[in-house]
Amino acid sequence: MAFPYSSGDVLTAADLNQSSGLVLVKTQTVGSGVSSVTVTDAFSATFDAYKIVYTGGTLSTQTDFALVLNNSATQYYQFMILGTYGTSTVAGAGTSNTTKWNWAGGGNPSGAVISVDVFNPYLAKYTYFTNSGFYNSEAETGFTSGVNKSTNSHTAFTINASSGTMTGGNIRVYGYNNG
Amino acid sequence: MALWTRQQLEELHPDGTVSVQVDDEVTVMTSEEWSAWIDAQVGTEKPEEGLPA
Repeated sequence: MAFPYSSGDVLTAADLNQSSGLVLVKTQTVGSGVSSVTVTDAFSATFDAYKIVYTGGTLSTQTDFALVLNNSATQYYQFMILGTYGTSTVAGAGTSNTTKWNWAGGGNPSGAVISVDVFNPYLAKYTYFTNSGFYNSEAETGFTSGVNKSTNSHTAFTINASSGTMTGGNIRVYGYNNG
Repeated sequence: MALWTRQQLEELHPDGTVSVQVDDEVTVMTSEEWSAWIDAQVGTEKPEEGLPA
């Protein structure tokens, strides 16, 4: 039965499965004063693309988050286009063959956030990332995209505070329904 | 931009207060691990806090 449904329709499991665009895969509550959080069983053959979201927590100091896939400690490449609130000057920053995905999110003692789209992490292909992010200071923000050039299959990831620690909130992993 | 000093980092994150987490398991760093974690941040840039007026 195709969406949209009507009153009185009897829905099957297949109907419900194909109606969910984003599917919650895992929720990980963050403890207090942690420098990193590893989320296992995040990626699988069920989905090709994922969204990782962190909300409700704080950082001990103004900083950004870095993300590392469990089966690749190198080969991260990215570019960020950024600016400062209240200005129109565009700047850029890039990394080449580094050990992590920088600027995956950020925050400070008043709040922290991550919202990263990850493509192909479980597949034996390059893993691509896109996200809005935070650069060096609370006043800088931008958008970044890039790639991890390992073709390893990843099932987990680690979020690191680039400095200081994170406390509270939840990391949620969503899968984009393959249909 | 200012740089983190060891004293600032130690005051902000005393030994015994920093942990690593894997799923629901939170493990406090040993003193050795904590010291190495502090060392890795000493001298790095200390981002500015505060939004433009």
